[in-house]
Amino acid sequence: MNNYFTNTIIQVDVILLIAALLLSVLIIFYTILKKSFLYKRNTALLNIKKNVYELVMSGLKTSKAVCMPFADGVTPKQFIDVETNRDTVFFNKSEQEAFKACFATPENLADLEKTARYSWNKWRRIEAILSLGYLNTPNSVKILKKNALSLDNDIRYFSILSLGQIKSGHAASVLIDLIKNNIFSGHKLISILETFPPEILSAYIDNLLSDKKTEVRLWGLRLLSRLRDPQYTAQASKLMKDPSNEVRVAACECLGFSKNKDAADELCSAMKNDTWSVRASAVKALSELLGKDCIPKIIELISDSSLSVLAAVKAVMINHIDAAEPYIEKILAGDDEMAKRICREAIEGAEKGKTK
Amino acid sequence: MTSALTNDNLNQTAFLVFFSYFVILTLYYFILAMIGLIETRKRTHESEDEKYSSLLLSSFTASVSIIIPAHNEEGWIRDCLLSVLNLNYPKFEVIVVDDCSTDATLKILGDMLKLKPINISYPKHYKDGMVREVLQSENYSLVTVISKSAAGLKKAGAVNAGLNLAKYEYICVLDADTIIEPDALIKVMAHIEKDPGHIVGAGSYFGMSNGLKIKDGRIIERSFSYKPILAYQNLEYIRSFIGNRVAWSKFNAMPNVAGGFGIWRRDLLYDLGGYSTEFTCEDVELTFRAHDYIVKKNEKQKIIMLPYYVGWTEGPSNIRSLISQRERWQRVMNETIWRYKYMILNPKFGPFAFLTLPYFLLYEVLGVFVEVASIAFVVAGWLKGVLDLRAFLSILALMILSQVVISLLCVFSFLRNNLLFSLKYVANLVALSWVELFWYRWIISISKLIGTINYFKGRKEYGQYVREKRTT
Repeated sequence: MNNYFTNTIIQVDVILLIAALLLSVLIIFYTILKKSFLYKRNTALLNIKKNVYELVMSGLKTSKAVCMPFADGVTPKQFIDVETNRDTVFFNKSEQEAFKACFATPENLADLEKTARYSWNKWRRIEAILSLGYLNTPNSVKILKKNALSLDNDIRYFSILSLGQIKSGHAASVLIDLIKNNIFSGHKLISILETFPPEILSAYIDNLLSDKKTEVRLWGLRLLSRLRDPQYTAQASKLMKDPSNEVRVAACECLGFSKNKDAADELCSAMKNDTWSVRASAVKALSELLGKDCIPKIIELISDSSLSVLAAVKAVMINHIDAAEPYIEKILAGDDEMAKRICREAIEGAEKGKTK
Repeated sequence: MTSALTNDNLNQTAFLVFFSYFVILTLYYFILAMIGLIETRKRTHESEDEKYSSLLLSSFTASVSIIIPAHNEEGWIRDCLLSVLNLNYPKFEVIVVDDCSTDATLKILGDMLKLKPINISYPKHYKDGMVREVLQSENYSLVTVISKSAAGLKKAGAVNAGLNLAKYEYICVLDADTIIEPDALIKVMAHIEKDPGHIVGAGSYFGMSNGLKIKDGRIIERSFSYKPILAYQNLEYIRSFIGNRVAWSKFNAMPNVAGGFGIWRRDLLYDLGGYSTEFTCEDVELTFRAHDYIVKKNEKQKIIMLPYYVGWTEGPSNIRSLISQRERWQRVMNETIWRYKYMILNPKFGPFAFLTLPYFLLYEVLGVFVEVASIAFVVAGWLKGVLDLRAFLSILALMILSQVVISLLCVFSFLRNNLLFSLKYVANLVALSWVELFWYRWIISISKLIGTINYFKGRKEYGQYVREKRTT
């Protein structure tokens, strides 16, 4: 073989040999270093724990003098470790509060705000963003709102999580704006809003329900149905006449979970809706709201033209077979073959349920 | 003289072809390993900063149906199921499908779960064969067992039986010899929850459970096996998951959500008609089919691979078993590539067609021919005196060293983010990386060759290899 090739390969071999040797040594040293780094990190947290525990037990108010011995030089990463208990050292609520008070010095806050706004190191910036959520400084929401519109997906995501930590009206309105402008997944934003106190949400929920976009109204209703609060019945009822089928279906679901029996009339009207999905949803919602008392109402749909509606009626009958029995007897004595079949299947289904 | 010249030219051309193949492949691996290094770091940061507590409390967190197909798993099923029941996740159900086991699998399940037959009717959308009965656990209300009465549809048929009964919006398929980590589901679902409209499939890293000390489904000591054949598999898994799949995932070109642990959105599985029972093995084919479906439906959906360790599975502990497992993998690879050949270099399929599939075709399918031909060429060249000893050794060194560098890069990526291994085990992996080409690589090549031959012979059996009983 040509000597030139061989010489070239040998040169490449030498480079690769050096790289492989260096990597081998690097891996071993890195493992040792990482283990010692973890040990140090753990020791530092244990030290914080000891001091914070003593501070809480002493009943002293947090002050610069009291906090200085352990809070000076604490990094945002350590702060988050304490606040989220993400490491092996556990901090209880009062210890977390005391540590937060010690950490929230004007210098630290200024540093965090600066890092959250301008840092080029993405993950340091995210640590600062998360810290701002826990500390809820006067500028937190403003900074987080700006970061929530960042082009970087991670910065956007963690800003949203951080806004969720604040749980103020201002934070809720920012999150709702993000849903309306389709900045992030509506599902994630709604799941964060779910954790906000209802009194805050009630002031902003109309903003979602009255939006022009169907998707946004739907998210609003999904949020409402999880809150399961009777006070929102009027808001959900308004959407029973929404032009979108999906919204009307979600509104029915929402009324079903509202625990407000006054919503039953609204659901009964929905059972006459032209769209099958709305009728089926109304049947399920009525069952959720009234329990076995819904049977006289839903039985009216036993001759519905839609199989899905019939399936919904059958499912409700199975769940409340005793209440449905008198109606079933009447239907079985009648001429409607389809209705008779549904009744028979409901009886079979209920028997299977009992076996189960 | 003319003949000698022709021979020389021929040898040189052949050398250049093999050498280019090798260089391209090495560079490809190297680039993937570098992307994997960056991507793994990013994912680890994301996981560290994630707020899992709010996901655990949210009513919006998606529910998951976990399906565990089991065929003769008496040595593993109990620990697997207990590890699943230890999961830290708000809402899930477990469906164990006993695929006509001839050992004590069903008895173990019965003793553990207190099973009672239930009369239940459910739609049979997926091809699952005959189901003998459905049993409900009295001890754990979230566990259902399906007992199949006719095998023959392989693992795919068993998973399909579970799919027919599953009621939640996400499906997690788990091997019955996998020990799952308590935070596995929440870690992977946290990523899906960020964008459930677009992420339809997800997998994550898992390694070998051989050697781990396990009690009642919990790992009590992470004592990884030093047995070279197992340590090499750990090294291989790290290379495959961290070096390749995580990097492919960045470009939505991930070719395989592994059967050991994989999560799929149920509506996608419904549209796809579930797992195909016509292939030797089901996971690669399903992932390819999902890519095909996503592109044809013009959906902006993603299949992702994450670097978090989610579980540990039982690996072949001897050469014979290893060959049997890899032979099967090779067959399914060939079957899948042949079935989806139209995707290769088809612009419609984007990075999957240009980044992943050419690699699969050139390395996973045709690689075995190139390897055999290149060995034949080197030996023939050496015997004929065309290739001198110096040239031969330099090429050999190049092959060894390039593989060492890539392996070590992947090990480094892994260690940067997970400190699972002891220093001694890390040193062991480093040492093994240097000598892989001298024996382990050959076993894999031979397995691939046998797999390819069997593929052409039309063999389609699943071929379960013999596993060593786990010591607890």
